[in-house]
This record gives sequence, C-alpha cells and structure tokens, in this order.
Amino acid sequence: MTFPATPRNVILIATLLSLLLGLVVLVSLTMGAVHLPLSAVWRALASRGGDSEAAVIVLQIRLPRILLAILVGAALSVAGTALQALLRNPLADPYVLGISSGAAVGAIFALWIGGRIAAASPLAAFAGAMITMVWVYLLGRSGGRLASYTLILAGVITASFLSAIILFMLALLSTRDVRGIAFWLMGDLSETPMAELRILAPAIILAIAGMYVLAKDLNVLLLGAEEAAHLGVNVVRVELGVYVLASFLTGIAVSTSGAIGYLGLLVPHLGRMLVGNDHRMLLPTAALGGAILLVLSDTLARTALAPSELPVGAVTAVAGAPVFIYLLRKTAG
Amino acid sequence: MANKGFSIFRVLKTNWFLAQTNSKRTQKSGLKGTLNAKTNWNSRVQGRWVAHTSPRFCRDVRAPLNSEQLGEGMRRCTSFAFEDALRICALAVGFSIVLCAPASARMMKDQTGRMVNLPENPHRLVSLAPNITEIVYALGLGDELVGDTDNCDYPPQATSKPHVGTMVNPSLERIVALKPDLALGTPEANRRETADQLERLGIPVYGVTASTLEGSLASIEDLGKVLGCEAEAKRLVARMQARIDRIENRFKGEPQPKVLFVVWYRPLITVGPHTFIADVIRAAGGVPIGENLKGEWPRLTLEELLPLNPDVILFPPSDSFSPSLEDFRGLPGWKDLRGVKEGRMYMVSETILRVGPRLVDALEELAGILHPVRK
Repeated sequence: MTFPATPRNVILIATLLSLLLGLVVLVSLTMGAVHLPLSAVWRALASRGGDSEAAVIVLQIRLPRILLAILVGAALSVAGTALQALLRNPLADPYVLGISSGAAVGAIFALWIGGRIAAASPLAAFAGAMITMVWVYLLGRSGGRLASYTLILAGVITASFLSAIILFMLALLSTRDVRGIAFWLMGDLSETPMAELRILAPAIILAIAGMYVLAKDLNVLLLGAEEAAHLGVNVVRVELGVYVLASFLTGIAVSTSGAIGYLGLLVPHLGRMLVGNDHRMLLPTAALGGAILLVLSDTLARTALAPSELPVGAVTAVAGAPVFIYLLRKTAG
Repeated sequence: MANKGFSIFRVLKTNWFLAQTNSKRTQKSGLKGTLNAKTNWNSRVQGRWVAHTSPRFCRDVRAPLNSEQLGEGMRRCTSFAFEDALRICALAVGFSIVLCAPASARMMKDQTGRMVNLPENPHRLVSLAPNITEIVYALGLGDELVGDTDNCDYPPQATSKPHVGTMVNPSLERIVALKPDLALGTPEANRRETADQLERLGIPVYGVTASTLEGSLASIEDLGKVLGCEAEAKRLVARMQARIDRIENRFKGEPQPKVLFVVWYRPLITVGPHTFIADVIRAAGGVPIGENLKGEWPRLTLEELLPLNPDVILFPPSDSFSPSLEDFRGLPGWKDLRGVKEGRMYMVSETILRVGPRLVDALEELAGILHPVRK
C-alpha cells in the first residue's frame, strides 16, 4: 500500500495512529498484576493524585512504564528506520553499530565502580553510548563521509569487541550486581520515575522531530550517495545528521530501559508495508507504531505470568521472530 | 493579593530585625530598604489590628492589644492583622506537614547501611525473602505478615499468604495493593532497584543481612527490635545460642574434616570463606576448603580442587541437581578425591541456605555428618 506523502495524508495517518495509541494506553492502564476496574482507573486519572492504592498503582507504577514504553518504542523505531535508510540495508537495526553494547559497558562500568556512580548508571550508560558513537564514526568514515560499507563493518567490529568486554566484566562482578545487569540486558521498563521522564520526553521528541526534518533527504539518500549528491543533497551533512540523531535516540532508549530487541528492525518494515517507502510518511508511522507495539509488549510482559514479570526484550523477541519470518517469506515470494 | 503575601514576610523579617537590634541607630539602619509600601500600611492601620513593621509607625501609632515596648534598647511591635495570623498558622502547619514524617516514624540505619524511615509500630509486613518469612513467624508475628514471595515455603502457613512474586522481581502492584507498613528484604536475594522503587512508592524497606552465624543471631535480634518484639527475639536467640554452644562443646576435640560445599558442579562453584555457609561448616567442626578463595561464590578448576582433597563433600538440595551422588564417582578427577573414595558425599537439607532460625538445624545436621562416630 502506498499513500502519496501529502501533508493531508501524513496528518491523517498520524491522527489515526495517535488515537489507536490512546486506546492502547487506556487498556494497558487497566491491566496488570492487580485487577483494577475501568472506573477505578478513570477516578485515579481524573483526581491526579490521592493516596488510594489504585491511584498509586495507576499513576506511579503503570503510567510511568507506559509513557516510557511510548518514548522508547518511538525512539527505537525511528532510529531503526533512519539507519536502514542510511546504511541502505533492510537488516540494519539500532544496535548494529554497537551503541547498545557501548551503553551496556557504561552501565556495568558504573556498577563496578559502585557507590554514587552506580546510582547514576543510566547516565553512565548514555555516556558509553555516545563515546561508542564517536568511536564508530571515526572508525567508519572514509573519504570524509560515512560510507555505508565501512560504517557497518566498523559498527559490527565495535559491537563484538564491546560484547567481549561485557562478558569479561560480568565474570568479575559480584553476583548481586550481575543479577541487576541481567535485567538491564533483557530490557526493563520499570525503573524510570516520572521525574526522569520529564527530561527524556523533550529530548526524544526533539530528536524525532530533527529526524523528520531530514526525511526528504533520507528519501533521496536511498538512491545512493552519488545520485543524491547530483540531486542537490548535501550528503556529508545529511549522513552525519542522521547518524548522530539515530545514535542519540538509541543511546537514550538503551540507557533507560536496556536492550529491547527486534523493535528497531521490525517496525520500519511493518511501516513500509502499511504506508510505503516515503520517509515523510514512514517516520511518523514508525514512531507511533513502535510506541503502540512496545506498550502492548510491555502489558503482555506484565500480565502473562503475573505476579512474575517477563522481561520486555523476551516478549518482543518471541513475538517479533515469527512476524519477521512471515515478512521474509512474503517478500521472498 | 500579592501585597498581602508580601506583608507576611515583612512582618516576620522586620520583627526579627527589631528583636536583634537594641539601639536606635542600628534599628533605623537595619530596617532601611525593607519597607517601602507606606500607602498600604496607612490603609491597613485604619481601624484594625495592624502589623506595625516600621519603627516610625511603632513610635507614632498606639496600636491596640499586642504591641509592646520592651525595656530600654528594644522596641518590638508585634500586633498582627487577623488574616495575617491565619496565614502564618497555615504556613506553620504546612511546613510541619512537609518537614515532619508521618506521626511516630524514625530514621534508622538498616542492616545494610541504608537509611530507612521506619514506622513506630509496623503491623502490616511484606517479606521479600523466604528466610525473612521464617524469622517473622519464629518471632510470633505470622499474623502481621500480609504478603510473601512465591518461594516462601516454611512454615507451611506461609504458602497460604498472598504472594507478591519472585524475590528478584516482585510485583510492585501486588505489594502496593497489600498496603504494607514495612517491607523486609535482603540484599542476598533482592535487588537494590526493587528497594528503591518501593521507597519511591512510599513503602519503607528494611534490609536484613548476615554473613556469619553470629551475624544471623544479631540480625534476628535487630529485626525483633524493629518489629517491636525485642523480648521474644532475645528468647529465640538465646535458645539458638544454647544449641550452638552445645554442638561446639560436644565436638570440641574432634578432628576437623575438610569440607567442600558444591554450589554447582560444572563449572565447580563453591562457597567463599566469608559466607555464612562457610561459617556454619566451621561451627560444626569442619574446615571449608580454600581459605584463600576470593568472593562469595568462587569457581574452582579441577587442578585447584585436587590438591585441596576434601574429606567430605556436601551438596545442597535441588530438584534440578540432576547427577546423582553415584555419578560423581565416575567423573574424572573427582574419583581421586578422598571424600568420593570414602563415600562421604551427602545432600544436605535446604535449612543451610536459609539465614534464619533453622540455620541451627542445619548446624546440627552438619555436625552429625561431619562427626559420625560420636552421635
């Protein structure tokens, strides 16, 4: 299905998906380890406070998780879409360039040092991700621009090296810290308080908006670097911009919620099946679609084996792999 | 509206100024620049209780009831308009609500060094680890326990309590729904993140930990103090200490066998010398192998194990521990160990893994295993 990317269509799709997202959020707020009827949820949302346990559960446990799922789902999907365009590779996902391994190294390093730094492990993880971004850029550029071939190789090498470092550090950490890290590595949306969300939300929204500004250029970039340059696109600047924004989005997502896989890989493809290849339509679709899918996965993770919780990364993988196989068979013919 | 609010602070600030100074000169200069809305004061003076903040007003106007002239150096005007008084009271109440914790709570350090805002009389407890559940029941507080984990299986009544999930990942929603006064956890089983999240939701978390036998007794006594049953805790600890002393005296002169406690066999993981399991082995009259091993769960290679040559090999109970004791005789390297050759391989009960009142049961069981002749 291909819609021409007129502003009217873009707004239409964005509105439809936003409504769907709102519905999914409302349904997810009612589901959880403790059964709360819809009326209790409404009351808690309307009164915006109070001490009843329904209010605490809805506003302080479920709502931050759902909001974080929206932000992280959108961030990872947009990063995945952008990287697939930048690298001209349908298998690219946000982690292929080593960002998530860099964030994991940062988080484990903070735990190793311990003390106050350990408490700020999301910041340390983000620092790790940004350092990896710079490193992979320096390693992967050739002739002044980010050639997709060398960039992918640089990213993959860095990712494997960092994974080895992670294993090394895990062997040296005490058991208690390893347990904490295991949760982080599997994806965990539950540890971000509302206060942190107030900083995250503008950052992610701004980065996605920045990516949207580059959407038209992303379309042309898909033709190839030389062709894009002939068509007047400032290839070096656009590639750098897309790379930095995608890494930033991935870094933020991974530092706060661990490595949630398959989202950045699948959602762009699903979006393309829905609205076609034009990034002006695809980016909002991927962002909102990723948000919806992650909220649904998180709700499933919370409720499938209540009161135990599945790690979110496991749910996206278990749900994502069959979808991916189906897509693969469909496109292979 | 803004003027009224401004007046409060001026009243407070200038009264403070006035109280501090005791000479006319400093009075005047101290108040320079803090007062400028003369019109306001004029209008408020008319026919009402008035806040006299300027010394000029204080000297000029004879306010009704509250203004005083104290001694020679001090002049203080302290009449308040009624609304201002109400507002000050509201501020004071507000501050006290913000600054004071809920009535009768205290900040205390728990056994892990965290500061916890303990309620004075907790009577709804959630236990996040099986050994804590055992301690709570042993202290006679089983009725105050409103929730425990899926793994809490002793005493049998604990299995019928509402469950909040696993130790590593309990369900915050379930815990909040139980409305506990206090949650009890241990860093050996629970994550720090869980404790932080519960604190953020307004549920204090008291951490319990012990790495020696002595420490476990002290931790039980401490928990008794926190939960308000110090006497019962002292009695329980005294009983446990008596049993420990009896074991120590009985096997005092006996030879001390070298003991290997197998946590997992491939790779071989054993307990470090500073864990409570090693301490229980020592108290039972054994020597845990590898006194210079580092960490809580050190890994041993076969070539490190062979020279250590343990006399007794202990296995914890585990449904997933698939190889039978017999299979070990055939394993390379293992079959040359003295413990395997003499057949001194035993599976111990789970009491040794619970840092609680039943640790003494484990001690007695171990002592019986390590010194089989004198029983």
